Amino acid sequence: MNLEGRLHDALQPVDPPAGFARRVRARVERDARAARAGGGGASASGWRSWMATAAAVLLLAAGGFGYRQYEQRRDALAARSQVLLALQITSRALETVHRQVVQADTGANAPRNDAGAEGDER
Amino acid sequence: MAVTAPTRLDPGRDLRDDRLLRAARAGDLDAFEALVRRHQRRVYSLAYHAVRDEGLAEELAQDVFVQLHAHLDRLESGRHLVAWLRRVTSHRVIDALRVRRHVSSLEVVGEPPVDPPRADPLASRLLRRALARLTPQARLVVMLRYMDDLAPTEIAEALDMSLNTVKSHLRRGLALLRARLQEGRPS
Repeated sequence: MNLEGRLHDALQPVDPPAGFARRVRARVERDARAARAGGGGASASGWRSWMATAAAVLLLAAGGFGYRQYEQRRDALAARSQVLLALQITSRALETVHRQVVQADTGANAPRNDAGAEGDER
Repeated sequence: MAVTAPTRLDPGRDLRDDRLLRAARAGDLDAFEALVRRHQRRVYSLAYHAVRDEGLAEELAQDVFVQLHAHLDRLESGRHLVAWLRRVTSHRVIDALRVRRHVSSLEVVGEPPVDPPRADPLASRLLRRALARLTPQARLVVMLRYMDDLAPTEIAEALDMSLNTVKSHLRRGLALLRARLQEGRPS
């Protein structure tokens, strides 16, 4: 016998175990009962689904609003820090300039006391 | 390889399936159960010969019919039903083979209850084991060709493959089976 003939023989139809159709029907009935019990009908499951969607949308919106507020506060704090730093820099710069001015002024007005200093030493 | 288109037209059978389909669509579970009985052998055989495991084959076959019940309104006729069952069973079997890797699990390779009288038991056993070593797609192609006598074009439609891919699977699959049959034969 050739290969094709042997394949036909090896692949003969096989019946499922007894009661197969009954088990399929029982499963279909069980699934239908579960679907009815779980949702309480199409309208109830649709209502719950709508509520869940609405809740999710509200949460997302609230989350987005809260995040925007956080961003604004963060930006404000950053700007404040920069202003303070700028003021500090300016303050130090002014201080330096002031010191230089004072030193310059003190040096210009100080009396010349070179002879007295030498006479004192003798 | 010469391919002859099998003649499977059975108007009487198709009409009966049409009547049962209409009734099942209307919610008649007796009609649905009758449809299951009429087609369970086709679906179960395909699953069983592919996965070689009675429990898994029944699970797959049940899944197919449960899915059928959910999709009754999409089926137009008895002929459409047969094509649909074949297509869905093939896809489920291929998915199961990929997931469970039943290709080389010879320990769970069961034997059908009875070998046909003219069959060579050794050759049949060797062939079934050799089939189990083909890829899922190649195995389904060979099975649909020699179990259901489908033409390559019908196999291509059932498995969503191109005709060339089907022919390639058939050619290589048969060559592999031939070689393994030769290897396994006692000298």
